[in-house]
Amino acid sequence: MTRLIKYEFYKLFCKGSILAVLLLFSVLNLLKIQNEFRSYSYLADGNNSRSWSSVYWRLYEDFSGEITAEKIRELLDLYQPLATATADMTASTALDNPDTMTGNLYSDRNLLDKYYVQPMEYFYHYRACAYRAAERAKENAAIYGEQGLTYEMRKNVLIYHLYSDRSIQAFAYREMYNYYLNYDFSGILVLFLCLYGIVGTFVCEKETQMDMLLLTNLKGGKETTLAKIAAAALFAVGVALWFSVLDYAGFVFSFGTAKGGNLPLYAVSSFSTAGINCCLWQYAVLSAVTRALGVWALSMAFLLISMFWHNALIPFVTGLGTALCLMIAGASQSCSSNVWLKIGNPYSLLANRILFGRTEFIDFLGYPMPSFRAAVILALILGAASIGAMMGLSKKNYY
Amino acid sequence: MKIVLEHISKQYKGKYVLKDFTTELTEGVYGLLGANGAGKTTLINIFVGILGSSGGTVRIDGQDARALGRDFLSKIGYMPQYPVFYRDFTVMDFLLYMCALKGIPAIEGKKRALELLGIVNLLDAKEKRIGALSGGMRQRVGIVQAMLGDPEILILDEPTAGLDPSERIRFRNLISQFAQGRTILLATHIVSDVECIAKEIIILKEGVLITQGTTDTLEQNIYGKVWEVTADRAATLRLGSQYDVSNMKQQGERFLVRIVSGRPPAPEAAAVSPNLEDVFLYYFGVKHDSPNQI
Repeated sequence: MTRLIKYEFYKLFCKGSILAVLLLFSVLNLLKIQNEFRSYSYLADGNNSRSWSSVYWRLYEDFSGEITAEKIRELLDLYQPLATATADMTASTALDNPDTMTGNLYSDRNLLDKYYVQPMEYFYHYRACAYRAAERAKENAAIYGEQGLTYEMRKNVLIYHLYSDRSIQAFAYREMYNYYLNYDFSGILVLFLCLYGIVGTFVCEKETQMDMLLLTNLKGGKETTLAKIAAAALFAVGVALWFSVLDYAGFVFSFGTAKGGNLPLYAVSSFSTAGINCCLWQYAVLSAVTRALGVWALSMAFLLISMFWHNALIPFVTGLGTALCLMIAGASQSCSSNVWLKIGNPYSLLANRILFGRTEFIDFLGYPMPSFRAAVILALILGAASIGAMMGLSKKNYY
Repeated sequence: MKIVLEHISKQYKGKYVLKDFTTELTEGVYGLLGANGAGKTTLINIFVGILGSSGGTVRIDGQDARALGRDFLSKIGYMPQYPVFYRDFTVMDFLLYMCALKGIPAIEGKKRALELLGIVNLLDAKEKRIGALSGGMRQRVGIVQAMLGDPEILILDEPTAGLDPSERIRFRNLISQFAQGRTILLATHIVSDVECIAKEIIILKEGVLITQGTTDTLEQNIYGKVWEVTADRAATLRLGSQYDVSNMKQQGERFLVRIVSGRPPAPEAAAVSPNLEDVFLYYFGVKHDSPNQI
């Protein structure tokens, strides 16, 4: 079987056209990441001594690490005079003020506000907010328990356990992770590339009339179908993981640092109500695995659709249309409170902040199941059902 | 090995494309001759298990091939009509892939592939991409892949389609070479492909077995039904419209016309010895006194 999978992989995916698209998409992805940095980060202003980037990293030495009262006081000592001086907007607007860090008072204030005061404030207050949420969940659990609402009680118990120990102990750079966690472009590229690569899996045999010849061989029936499925799965997972690695490497390279990886996931504001407790680098790994699972499930569905056609065009167009619908639906559901719509859409696993960014549950036989877990299970079911259908529907020799 | 195909039938939408086909094959080359659409590929597809039959059985040494199951597949080597294979594969990669499909261990498969490539004179092309091969070379790769498992039964569906005469002769010789110790069923509509090498010819018409026998027997069967007559242009045209003409040769102002007919086409016509093309024309002719009309 290993030999068959190897040959199927070689036959289907080691083609000039697929490698060219992979290369093109990789470059495109890196350019897009670079563009994210250039367009959105205020630290993308060069390396001269008065650039935000230089000033930020100079100050970082003083304020990074464990959050202490002394650091907060030092930060406020630096920030408060600037805030006061610029409050009525009458301060000097000179761009070469020698008494400032960046050359301009407003610029100093904005830099400190955006990159130190706001994050520090968020980090510092997060513990209290989480504690309040946990306590509220505890109270709710007790009330629901008294009323016999078992599901709600169990859900609140889970929320309590999830939030009760949450705190952000240290200050670290989080901007790179903020953009990294909200970056979806590569998911679209992965989906298109997989679709392009996979639709030919069965069709190419029909186009070359090899489907007949295969069936007359000992392992040309179900074994070959299984090998094709395995090769396609390997391709899909490989492409998904490759782009996840590329995303991470691209962000680290563009932003110039990987610092902040040990911060908890909820240190990023858009993940303040995250449904899991882990640190940012762990989430990067989890996100890559989840994305690979989503790509696998969708690829298996695309593969199943392609089985019924004699040329690659129709399944490609069908798959492309389906992928676009799922993407649009995924984007429109990202802020929705309808959990079922999110977990039912395999694309949610590709842009998985939709699932992990909020603490949401579904009622599974009276037990609360986190939305991401439900989405993973549904994707597994979709993938397995597609494989089952392909195995069942694939041609076999009458002997 | 004795292969018996018994009452094989295939129906599509109530219409028979193969009807009650029965034959017996032993060691040697069998030519399955028929016009396009005669049911040759259908018969072969049923034989190799690609297509289910509407009725009938295939027996190998008395045992139902279905009972043999997948073991039967290891006994057969099949070369499909118009093989395209995989254009991006090299010849060797393709053959090694076919070895994997046939369950032949990699090292043994490579050895066997090299040996067969030597026989078909393709050793120099083993690293060439299949897409870069000529039609004849691709056909030779086709027969090599069919021979990889050293099958007892070799089934070739229109193996010389699209080949030039020299490639066709080369291919025919290869088939003769591989015939020893195995049964070869070669489907074709080209008479010369099987005329010299087939032990027996099976003639299939509209899904029905018309006749089966050695070339000599088949020719003998139509003895007295092949005529030659010398005629002028006008008479030649008239003969062509009335009879199945198997050959026409210009001799100065006149033509030597070879006609397949149950009766003399002209008083001066002389009976001549039939050849296999005459036999083919006799059964597949469309003119007034083809077998169906005789």
